Amino acid sequence: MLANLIAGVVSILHVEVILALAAGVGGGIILGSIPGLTATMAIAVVIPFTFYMDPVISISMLIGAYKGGLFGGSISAILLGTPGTDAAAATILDGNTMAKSGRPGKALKTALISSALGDMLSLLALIIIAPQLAKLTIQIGPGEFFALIIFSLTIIAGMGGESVTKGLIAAAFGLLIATIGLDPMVGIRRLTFGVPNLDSGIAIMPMLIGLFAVPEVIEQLEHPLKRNIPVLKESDDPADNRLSFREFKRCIKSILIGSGIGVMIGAIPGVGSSISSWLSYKTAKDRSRDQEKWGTGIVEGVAAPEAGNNAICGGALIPMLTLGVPGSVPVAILMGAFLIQGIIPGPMIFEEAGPIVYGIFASLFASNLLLLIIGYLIITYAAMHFTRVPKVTLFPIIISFCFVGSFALNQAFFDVKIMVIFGILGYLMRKFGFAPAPFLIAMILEPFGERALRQFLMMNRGDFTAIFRQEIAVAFLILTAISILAFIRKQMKKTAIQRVPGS
Amino acid sequence: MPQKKHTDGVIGIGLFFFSLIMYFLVIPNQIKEISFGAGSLSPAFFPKLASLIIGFLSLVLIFNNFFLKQQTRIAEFGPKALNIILFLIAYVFGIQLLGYMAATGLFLFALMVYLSREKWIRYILIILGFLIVNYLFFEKVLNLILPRGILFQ
Repeated sequence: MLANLIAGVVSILHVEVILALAAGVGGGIILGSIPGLTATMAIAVVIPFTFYMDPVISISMLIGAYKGGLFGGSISAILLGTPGTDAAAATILDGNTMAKSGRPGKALKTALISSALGDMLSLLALIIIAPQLAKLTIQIGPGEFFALIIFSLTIIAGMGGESVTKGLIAAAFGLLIATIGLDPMVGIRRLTFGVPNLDSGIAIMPMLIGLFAVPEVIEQLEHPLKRNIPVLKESDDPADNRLSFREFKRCIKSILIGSGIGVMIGAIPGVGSSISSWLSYKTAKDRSRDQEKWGTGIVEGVAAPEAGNNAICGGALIPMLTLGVPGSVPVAILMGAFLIQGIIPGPMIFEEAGPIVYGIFASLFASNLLLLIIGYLIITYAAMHFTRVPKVTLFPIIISFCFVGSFALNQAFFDVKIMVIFGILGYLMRKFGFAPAPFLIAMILEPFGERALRQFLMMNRGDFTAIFRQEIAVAFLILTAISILAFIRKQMKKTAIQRVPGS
Repeated sequence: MPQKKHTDGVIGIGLFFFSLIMYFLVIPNQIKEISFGAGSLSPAFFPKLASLIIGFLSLVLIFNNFFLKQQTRIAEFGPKALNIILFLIAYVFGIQLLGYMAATGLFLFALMVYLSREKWIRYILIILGFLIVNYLFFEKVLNLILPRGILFQ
């Protein structure tokens, strides 16, 4: 493994790779720091720049944007008290309090160092766990894989927000839309309505740009446009705007807790960075000797959620790389980028694309260092300006990027139309309470699940019950049944609460 | 939009009919049912399965809404949203007709002025700068030929 890692490091020691990484991280921080723009949006905006790049450079740039976006969210959380991303909401408690008391520099530097360390620890977990897990999962056959996908889809439907039923409906729509195009086994046209552009199916990138970036922009623009002007006074005492070594030592426990939680939460499909940062904050607070000081503006209160939300990145890449299961929207977009580059995430990835994967590991490490450097420059000289970028000029320009991003990959105008259709659909889904995440992830997983089931049935001459003779498959099916029962119980509890008068 | 009591139920009914149409009309017309021997699934199997799941879940949604009185929160529709969607559709047709550069310039200017009429001279400068950077990066660096439009082909 060490030799592979060294080869990976050597493969990224080129000016163009480092520049691409720096652009991804810098772009991600800037976009993430603008209130209303999430890490998902940061990746979506960077996508058009990556299509023509080498796989390692393009995927590294997207991961850089993801990490930068996660950290960028904390800039507006601290300076404005408005999280740039959901993941940074817990940072407001202590971060914004620190900023209001004249210590924005200290809060931002704590957030930066904690984010970078959380990232680094999650990267170590990824490098250690992923290849070992891949060795185990390589023995998984089509039956087990189908059961795993069923389980993942059930869990991901929980991302449906308020209603699990609506989450499942969104996932079922994703399955249906994914079947458009040529049948993967026999090559017959399915649901193409005679449109030749649909033979290869709905292209993932235009669809996800439409589904996630366009509705976000429409929602931001439909409300009155206010400029975010933070009224903050920086303390004259330089000690108030730097992180001392003593304070850093105080943060280490919070960073370790946040990183551990981030990696675990990231590895579970469907949970997400927002929960990770809140859970990190709460756990670190519960384990602190000065619990009463939390929320009054202490560095530990910034360190825990920031480490927690950035450590998600490495954790989330573990199931995506080893099993081919993306657990969140940004990771689903990254998986789309892998597929576009001809790399199929899953148990065989280390066998089939080992050098590329290790190159990506090395670039993740480099992007952490760049996050520190670029992040430091931005929070020192420019953070305040980015939080004030006027929406009226920025958001229309982002829409224009979405158009180029959708067109660029296949140079097909048809893809632009797909993007707009899914943009409108995504907006309506949000308004009517259907989360788009289960839709997207089901759409990505359907071809793998369908192929696995059909291979399994052919191997067993159509006998589906053979799946019950495979222990791993049975384990996944039991987990699926437990998840469904848990959802039903949750639903019934909710109904009982609603029926209690005045509740 | 005021919060309606039965929005979920109405959506459920719509989805139920959608699933019926898919299952009985669209899928049989659009996908040939072919069997390739023992154990092979028909190409129509997964689309039909997805339609059945949508149909079943829409019944759950209807039941939850009309019998258990459950209604998820429905977000308000801003009047601006429809206009912005119309701008997007016009932008698509604009690109087909005028090409990416001209249509983008017009779209950006129109949308910015629609959102706020305060600094339109500044908008023009920003749009010109954006278009120049766009042209240089995508057309000259990445060699990506952006749509030219019917009028300028």
